Amino acid sequence: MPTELFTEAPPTPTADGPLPLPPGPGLTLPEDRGYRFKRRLLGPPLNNEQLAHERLGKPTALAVFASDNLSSSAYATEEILRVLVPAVGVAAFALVVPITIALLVVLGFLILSYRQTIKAYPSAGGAYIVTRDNFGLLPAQVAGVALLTDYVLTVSVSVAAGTAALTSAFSVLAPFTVEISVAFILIIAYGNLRGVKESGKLFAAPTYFFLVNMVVLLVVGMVRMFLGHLPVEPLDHPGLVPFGSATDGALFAGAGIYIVLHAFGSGGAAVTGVEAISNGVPAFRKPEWKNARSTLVVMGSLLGTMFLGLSVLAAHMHVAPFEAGTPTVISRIGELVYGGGVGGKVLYLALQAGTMLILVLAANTSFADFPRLASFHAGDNFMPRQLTKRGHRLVFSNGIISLAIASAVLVVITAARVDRLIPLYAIGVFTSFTLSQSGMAKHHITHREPGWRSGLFINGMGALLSLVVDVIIAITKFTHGAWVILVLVPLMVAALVRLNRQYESEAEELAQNARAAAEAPVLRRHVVLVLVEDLDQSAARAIQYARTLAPDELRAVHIAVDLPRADALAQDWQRLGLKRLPLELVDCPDRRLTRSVLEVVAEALAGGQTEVSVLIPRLAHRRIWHRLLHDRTADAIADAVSQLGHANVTFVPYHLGVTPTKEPVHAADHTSPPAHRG
Amino acid sequence: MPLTTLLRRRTAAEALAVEPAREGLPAPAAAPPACGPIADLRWRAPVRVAGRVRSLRVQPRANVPTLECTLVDESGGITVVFLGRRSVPGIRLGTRMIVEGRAGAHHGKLAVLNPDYELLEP
Repeated sequence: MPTELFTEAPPTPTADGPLPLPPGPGLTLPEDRGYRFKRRLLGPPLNNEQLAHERLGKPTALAVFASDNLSSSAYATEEILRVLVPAVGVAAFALVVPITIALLVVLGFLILSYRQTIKAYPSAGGAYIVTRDNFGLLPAQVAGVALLTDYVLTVSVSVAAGTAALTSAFSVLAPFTVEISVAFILIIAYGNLRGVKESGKLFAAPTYFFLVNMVVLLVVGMVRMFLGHLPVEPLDHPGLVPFGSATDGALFAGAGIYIVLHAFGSGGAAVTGVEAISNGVPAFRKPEWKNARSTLVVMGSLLGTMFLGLSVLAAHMHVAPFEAGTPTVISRIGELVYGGGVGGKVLYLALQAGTMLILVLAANTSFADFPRLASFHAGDNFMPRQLTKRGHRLVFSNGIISLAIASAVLVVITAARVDRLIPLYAIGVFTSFTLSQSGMAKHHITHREPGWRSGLFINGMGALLSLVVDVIIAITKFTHGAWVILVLVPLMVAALVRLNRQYESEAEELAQNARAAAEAPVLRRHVVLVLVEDLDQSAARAIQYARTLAPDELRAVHIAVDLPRADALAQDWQRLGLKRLPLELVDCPDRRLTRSVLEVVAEALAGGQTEVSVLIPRLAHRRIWHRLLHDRTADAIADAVSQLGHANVTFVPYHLGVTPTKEPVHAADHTSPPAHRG
Repeated sequence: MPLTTLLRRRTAAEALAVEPAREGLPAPAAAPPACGPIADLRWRAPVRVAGRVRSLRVQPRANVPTLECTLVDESGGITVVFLGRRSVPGIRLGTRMIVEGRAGAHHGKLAVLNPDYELLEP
């Protein structure tokens, strides 16, 4: 690096007078290796002004925001059946449709509620903001953390389900489920780090491809059902989940109700993703809130139709889930509806491809939402500051990386099995629904805008229903894994609150009396210590620099780990022609270099009226491997010395590979004749 | 730190206890004042202390020749200054010695200037 630093000759003054400034800093400053690699990996950096938001029309907006929600239909029916079939056997197929309808009622109320939210918070109506505005910071943390955990789960569930769609079609890939899922997460994370904009085309194609496939599937399925052509699956297929044997009569006992509620809770995953549109209202074309509302309704209707259609078909054909998770229920439905012909096979593969694509896109939605929500938390000092930083490509890189790591870990732990992930899922979403809908109810009460009564009713019902569903999920899925979330969320909220207290106290300490402190009288003495290991070029650089300071006391310090060497240095020093620069040799019989330096500095500080500057020569290497040849003593010393108040460390770099005659010369120096230097 | 202190304490104590016997001198008629702890030294008072050279200050040629060192025992340290000399044979880092003189000040620190000194066997 340093050699290239000075290759560009600085402008020389001419007789015509000074020249204009060069275009850059006047030196060639090469970028470091890490940055060059990052640039190659992620593309050129984006500037702040490129942040401008792309405005989306309704069809594109549907594709961008609805993939999470719509994709739920790919696994919701299956998860309901997975609970029902082992418990009540064939009766499951009679129950799946009513449970689906119950979930659609919840969905309907949530859509109505979110219509209110969109109108009241057209700028950013996420659960975090709504809860914070109406209930304060602490409940907002609960809503936010609940939502964050669910974003992680959305990625895991969607990717796992997308992989299942792939392995259902190509069973040879089944043994690599976990690897494929993790690869999907990495690809999505990479795309987001590069800054996949919420660009319409990228999203529109897969989303509408999936929708078309679903429409074809449902139409063909319904027609064949009414014509009575649809086959009914035998119940003794190998690999299916075991069938329960409860009779219809037993269903209405308490245990039966519990099972129905459990199935309802599992199907609750279908409703997740409703909030996405309310988070992204500013991305819509004007009038934003109206467009957002109608898109929301379209999304709800599409999801409702697909979910209900799939449940009806599954119920009619007695499609039961498989123990291993693949082939999936939706893929079995596809196979049965389309039949075994060539056309059927093509349609089936198209359906699987569409399912996989939309599920992967759904994961991508979380990659847009999680980092943004995390940055809200961090902006309120409830999460590490690093999460507020926009990276190389203007995206919240740290949030993206955190999400990728968390979801990949989850996928590996659960072996990418959707049925193992589902019990964890949806609690967080419904918690945040409950909080944000109650927040909206409170908003109506405090603001009393026109029509607030009906708004209050809708949001109140939304909050109540969300709460009921949340409690049902928490109770029925508790032993299946929901307890993890119920333990994790409070712990995380506690951690965030602790973190916030730390940030606040730091900020308070830094802010108090800052002005008075800046104007306070300086300490009486300034002692400069130059640490020298040997009388060499790097020490000479540090000594040179030290002589430009004007301290009250200046000395070189050598920690004598090796006595003969110290003696040799002392003799060299005596021959040196420098005035006022004594060398202090400090005995260090225990070879603890850092400790000895610390003691010397502490001694110089004694009395409390002294400011000590420690100059440490440090080699700047040209190649990474050159650096490996030396230990990091200089950095260790700096870390230790910096613990003391009024001890200030300065590294004086010596650029290896730059010959002393080509010593760094600042462009400004060239205006004076060379004789003045040195 | 604890290790260092421990080491220093032991060596200094050794120096104090063993020294007269090891020198093997006949006991002088007027016994020299015993070595006291450095911490007890006061300005303008007579000094007779034993200790180890912890640090040495070397002046470059251009300055007035001075050898300055810090002598420590387990109780504290004092600056020992040899004016007019660039080096004193035998005085190196880690050297143990007894110095005798009068406590004065040098650059604001308690110091013995041009003391009598006696090197001790390591």
